[in-house]
Amino acid sequence: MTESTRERVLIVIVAAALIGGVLLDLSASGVDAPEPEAIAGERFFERAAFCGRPMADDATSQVTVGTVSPEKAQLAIEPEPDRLFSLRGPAARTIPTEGAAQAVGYRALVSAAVTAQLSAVQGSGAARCSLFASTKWYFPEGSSALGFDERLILYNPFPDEAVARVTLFTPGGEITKAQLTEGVPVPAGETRVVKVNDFVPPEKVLGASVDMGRGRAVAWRASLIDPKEQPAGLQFTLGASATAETWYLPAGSVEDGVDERISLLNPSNQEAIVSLSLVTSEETLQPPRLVDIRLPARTSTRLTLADLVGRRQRNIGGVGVIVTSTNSVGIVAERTLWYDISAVTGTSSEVGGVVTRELWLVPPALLKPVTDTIVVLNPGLKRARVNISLLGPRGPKRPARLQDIVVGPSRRRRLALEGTVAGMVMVESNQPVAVERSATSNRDAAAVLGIPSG
Amino acid sequence: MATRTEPIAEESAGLQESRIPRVLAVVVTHNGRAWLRRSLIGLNSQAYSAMDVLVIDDASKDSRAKPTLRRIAKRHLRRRRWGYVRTPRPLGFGGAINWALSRVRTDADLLLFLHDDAVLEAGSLESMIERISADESTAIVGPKIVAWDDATRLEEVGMAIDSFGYPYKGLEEGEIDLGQHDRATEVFFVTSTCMLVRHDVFRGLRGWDSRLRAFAEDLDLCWRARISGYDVRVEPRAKARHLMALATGERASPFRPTRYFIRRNRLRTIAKNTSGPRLAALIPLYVLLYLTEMLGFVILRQPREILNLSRAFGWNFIALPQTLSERARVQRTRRIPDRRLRRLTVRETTRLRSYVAHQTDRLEEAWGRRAEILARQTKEAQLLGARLKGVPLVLILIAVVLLVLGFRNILFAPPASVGELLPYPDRATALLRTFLSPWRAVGLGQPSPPLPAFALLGVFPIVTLGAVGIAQKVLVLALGIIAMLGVVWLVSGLVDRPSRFAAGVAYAFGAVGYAGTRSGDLTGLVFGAAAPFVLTSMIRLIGWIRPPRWNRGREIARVALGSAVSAAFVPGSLIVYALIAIVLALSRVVVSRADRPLRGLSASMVGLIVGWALLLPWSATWFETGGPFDRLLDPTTGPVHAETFSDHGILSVVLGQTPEYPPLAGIALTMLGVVAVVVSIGQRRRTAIALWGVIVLSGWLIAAIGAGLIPPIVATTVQAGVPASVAFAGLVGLAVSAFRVDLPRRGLGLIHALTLGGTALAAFLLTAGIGPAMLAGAWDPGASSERIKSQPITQVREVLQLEAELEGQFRALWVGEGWSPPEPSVARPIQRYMVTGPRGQVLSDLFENRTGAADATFATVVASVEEGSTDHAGALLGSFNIRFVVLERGRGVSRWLGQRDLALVRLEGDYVMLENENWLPRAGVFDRLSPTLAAVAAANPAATLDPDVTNLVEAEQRTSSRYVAEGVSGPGIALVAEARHPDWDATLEGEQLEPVASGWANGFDIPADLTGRLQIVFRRSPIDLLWVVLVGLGWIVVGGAALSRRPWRGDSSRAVP
Repeated sequence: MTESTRERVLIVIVAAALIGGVLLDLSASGVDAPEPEAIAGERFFERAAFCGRPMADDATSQVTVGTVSPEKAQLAIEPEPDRLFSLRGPAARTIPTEGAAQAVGYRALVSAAVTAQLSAVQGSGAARCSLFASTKWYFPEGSSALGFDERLILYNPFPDEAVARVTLFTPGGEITKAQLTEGVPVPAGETRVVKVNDFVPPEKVLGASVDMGRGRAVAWRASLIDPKEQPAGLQFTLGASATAETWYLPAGSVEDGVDERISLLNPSNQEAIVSLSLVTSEETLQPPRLVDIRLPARTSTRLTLADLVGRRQRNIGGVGVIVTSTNSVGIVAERTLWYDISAVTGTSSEVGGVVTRELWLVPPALLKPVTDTIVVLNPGLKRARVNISLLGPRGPKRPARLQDIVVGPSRRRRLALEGTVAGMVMVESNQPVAVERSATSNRDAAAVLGIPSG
Repeated sequence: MATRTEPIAEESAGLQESRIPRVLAVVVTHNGRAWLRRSLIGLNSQAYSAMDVLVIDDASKDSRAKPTLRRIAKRHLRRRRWGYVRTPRPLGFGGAINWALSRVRTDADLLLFLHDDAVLEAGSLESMIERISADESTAIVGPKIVAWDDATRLEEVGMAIDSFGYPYKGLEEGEIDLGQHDRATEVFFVTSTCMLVRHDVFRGLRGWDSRLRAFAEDLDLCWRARISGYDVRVEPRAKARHLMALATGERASPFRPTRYFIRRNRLRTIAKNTSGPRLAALIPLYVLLYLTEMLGFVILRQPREILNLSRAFGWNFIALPQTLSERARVQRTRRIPDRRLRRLTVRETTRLRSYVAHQTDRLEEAWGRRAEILARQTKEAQLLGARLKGVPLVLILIAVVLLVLGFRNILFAPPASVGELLPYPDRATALLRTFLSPWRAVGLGQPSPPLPAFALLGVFPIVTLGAVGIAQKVLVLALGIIAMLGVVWLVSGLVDRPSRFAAGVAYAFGAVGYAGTRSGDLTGLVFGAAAPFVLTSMIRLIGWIRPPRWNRGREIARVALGSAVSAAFVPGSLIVYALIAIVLALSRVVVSRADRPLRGLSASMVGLIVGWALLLPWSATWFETGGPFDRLLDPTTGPVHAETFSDHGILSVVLGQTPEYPPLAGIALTMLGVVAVVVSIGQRRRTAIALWGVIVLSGWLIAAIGAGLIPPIVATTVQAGVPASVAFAGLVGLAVSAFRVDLPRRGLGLIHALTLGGTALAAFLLTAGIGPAMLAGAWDPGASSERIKSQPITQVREVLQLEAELEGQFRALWVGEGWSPPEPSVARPIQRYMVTGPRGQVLSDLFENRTGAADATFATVVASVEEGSTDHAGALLGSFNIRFVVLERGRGVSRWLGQRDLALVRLEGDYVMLENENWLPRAGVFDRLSPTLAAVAAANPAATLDPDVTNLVEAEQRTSSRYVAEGVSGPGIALVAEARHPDWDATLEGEQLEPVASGWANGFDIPADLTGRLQIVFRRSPIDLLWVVLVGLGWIVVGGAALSRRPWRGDSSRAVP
């Protein structure tokens, strides 16, 4: 073979290899990397629930802590770490407390809520503890009118100082006050109260948002109400940390002597179009005047249900409300109930829930209730079967009449708890539901949403 | 073998009975016929009558030539009783004497040893005998040694030594004898040129050390005599002329090279005779000294001297048991401590001054020759400069401007922190110390064999005189320049200078440099810089190109050196080189005889094996858990690497798009590659085809990895694309050469048109591809991905460093894939989080192995946070000495923001920074074990509810493997927050502390009654140190051999035209 022939042979070999490679390219499908493996090993379980108080001198309050975990958990109420309790779920325990506290669960998640009673305004209320701190909090309801002592309670559980900027919303738009928008410092581990009335002139409808300029915090609203023409009482609720398109408010009633109002807040820069559905034990109603309500950007509003439903529905009785933003603009909804009947006078307020779950822990709404009810709202299309257990420190009690209760699709059901149940209630369902607890006493009424668990 | 003895023993038996001491003169000759006669005449002229003479022929080659040595002896020793013996083989001066004296019987009182090139002047023997007889303690006496041809010129008046055993004459060069040294002084030793020794002492010392053969045997004998309590003196009235035939090279000796024997014997002499403590102090100094010498020889390009040094070490290493046995015997006779001999030694500086003065003349001579070469090169450069006018000058200026523009994001920005292109640690020697340290302060700490990559990278901050800020820029630019020179060298035997330049530029600005810089693939860049050299040597070994005077051994050394450098960063490069060698050899077989390519292939493989050996002991861990190949071959991590190859294939390689390159420029490379094959002639054409073979191999490799047919042998496409990029650059050089040289030789026709058109189009495409990239500053670290760029990392690092200055050392946890490299690599895999020191991730953090038990525990802590099961991360992380958490903004941040014991200190667009105030110091003494540590160890966060632990004393970190605390008193727990390892050791005032269970860290119990200085150290095995020394020697030897330009013995290898 001559040299040039050898070269040609070599060129042919290289070209053949190239073509072979191209064929491989064309036929290959590539490699997909597997999902990273989960990290093995036991997890360190320790979560705190941050609890607030109405921050009034005459307040009596207690923390109710519950868990569904069968692990034998330890429970500490900080900042008093020597108060260490054991809890094997499902169980709950009620502990008196002063000031803001953290209910810390070791090896198990604990859910907690604060139930408070004020002597000055003859009011009572309950607010959930938060499992997280956030940089934003929203409160659709509020008022700085005469007789209303509106307070935003800001708790900073972190080791760094936080600065909160408070913006107030009315139906006419937002109100900015230099002292509030410049920032309210909340030192590390401390609670600060923003008395809204000190900053704004009387406004009947006054939503609020708390935007943390620095750090994170947990925020509650407490309204100490003692107006001349309305019932006195306490409104106490945990804020919403985010906007959502759908809000569930299981408890509520439209009837004589009970005035239910839905407050809406649109903190976004877009107009929201909102519809409200009323869910009763028998049907879901869609009153025409509760459809496509326009909520301008950065405004809040208050809807009195009795004024917006049809005449025949004005005495409909117990209703749950589902608030939906139909144009996907995030909003926040809160429900206020005003009782002015012989059995009870007072008020309660609760920011709605955004999730449905199959397992709920529901804290007590009042320290000493006369009536105590669990309201289960089933927004789904399947019938839900619900079991209710009463939790004590030593475990659950399962009253027979509260077992295997059926809640129809798009229905709600109100279940009275017999006697005085100071502790937590566990609601188990085979379908995702929303749960709220509502209670009345001689002095006031209160409602508190359940805490999703599991 | 003829051996003959005269009956001198019997005849001289009566000497003992007389009163005057009897002398046996022993003349040893080896190939010394020319001088022996005068030496014997000198002996014969001594008036001292009671002297017999023994001539020992140490197996001279010409002993049977006429007249025979025996006859010469007989002729010149007529009046004396004499003898003649011949050794069966060359035994050296001392060995021959030992051998002869074991075969003859003599009752001489004194032995006079004399070289065959030394002449004792008349009356000298009497003077020496007088001196030795004057004092019972004097065992050895030497004469004044003068020059052979000029008796007024002093050569030696006794010798001194320095601590290292280097001899010192104390004479000026060519010093005239004016009687200035005429004192019968005590000296450390006299040379064996001529020495008179008491026979009984000589016997007591068991004669010469015959293993020394030549050089330093006199020092050894005299030293042993001194240790035994005897004196050594010079008698200035005695005079001997000395030719120094061995030292001047006039004598053909089997004991060469001289420097090898000198070094070898000096080491043995020191090892035998120095006292124990002094020897222990000398050994490390010796190692350092020899390494320095080796480095000097590398710089001076004297590979043989490096070899001599290595051989000397090696010989002593092998002979160590025998040396130790000899040492034990010598030391048993010791009567004099070393300190009493110090008066006879000189300072190293004295000897060094003398040495420097002596060597200056030699250097001047050598530099004179170099100056000529330099002048010639300068003249050439001036001529080139003179030619640079007009258009070429403008073009060069434009190129410089474009270069600066293209690299502006490297040159004028803070040190990049992208991928593996990380900043240097703070101190100039930090990487070298990391290399030498048995414990690496990376992550939670880990034991590690010395990583050669750190030694190589550690050179740059020293080059920049400690300016670590610019070390990274120098590194990147140096890699570019080295890469360019490598490709210039690749084609240097085939093409003219402009073509070489074109090839070099094409590579320096090619796909590997482009993609490697943008993705921060430092290991790929190093591989890219080393690969042209390895490829060139393999091409030469296999026979594709063989320039004149090429040398197989040198090319193997180059393969070894280049492959070791690239495998220090990319272990898989060894496999890539092996595949290339196979392809080159097989394709060479097609165009030539089979034997030569296969021999070249074997030689290449030998080079690669040596390259692997140079990386020991690290290279032995490649397949261990967490090792480089374990990551690549593991079924979970391997596909992560392979997935990055999926977007590439043989087509993208052939079109110049792999790993990443402006598309137009890539196509231009392909076109020039075709031009190189079509237009080139002869060897250039064949080489072009071979280079295409390399490109196709590279394409196959990438395609097969991308298709999942083979596991990824290299981690990134940048690394896999290196061979193709080198080959393309070589093709560019060949294409330019073809255009300039081969095309004019071809007849005008279609090929002209096609070539002109193709070349013009390729030039246009290159300009259109590279030009905009340069204007856009495309060589920008981090430009290839959306990951977090260097700027935020620099910001965080500044904050952390400031805190470290105020509060001491701590760790930082970086959470988020944004901090990871754009592509996973072996040196720096993509991970959800990383643990660093206050400097953030730096170069010394590369090759972290996160497979230890401590890492697993830490992973569960992080998972607990990210899965939302804890909001008390500060306490848990604090037990790992973590003070700051740096989070990439995005999903998962809220979990971290919800940690109730982490303070939010910075909230930026790219990142969030949290501070943990509940962090344990890196090392210290505590009143009891920290509850957070107990919580982590028991996986029970409730344990943190215990009251706080008290930090009694904080320990200072002296090195990554050593912590010290003063004024510690028990009881307590000493704790060092480094991953638990049994080799961590703690002592308090010398008292060993017992380890205690302390979770992931290392804890030690301090008893109540102990007080003093606490030291916590990671023990280093002496074997590790030995490895470092041996491998260091290996690098020096291979480096010296590879970089040598001197002609080798094998330089006669035939060049391939």
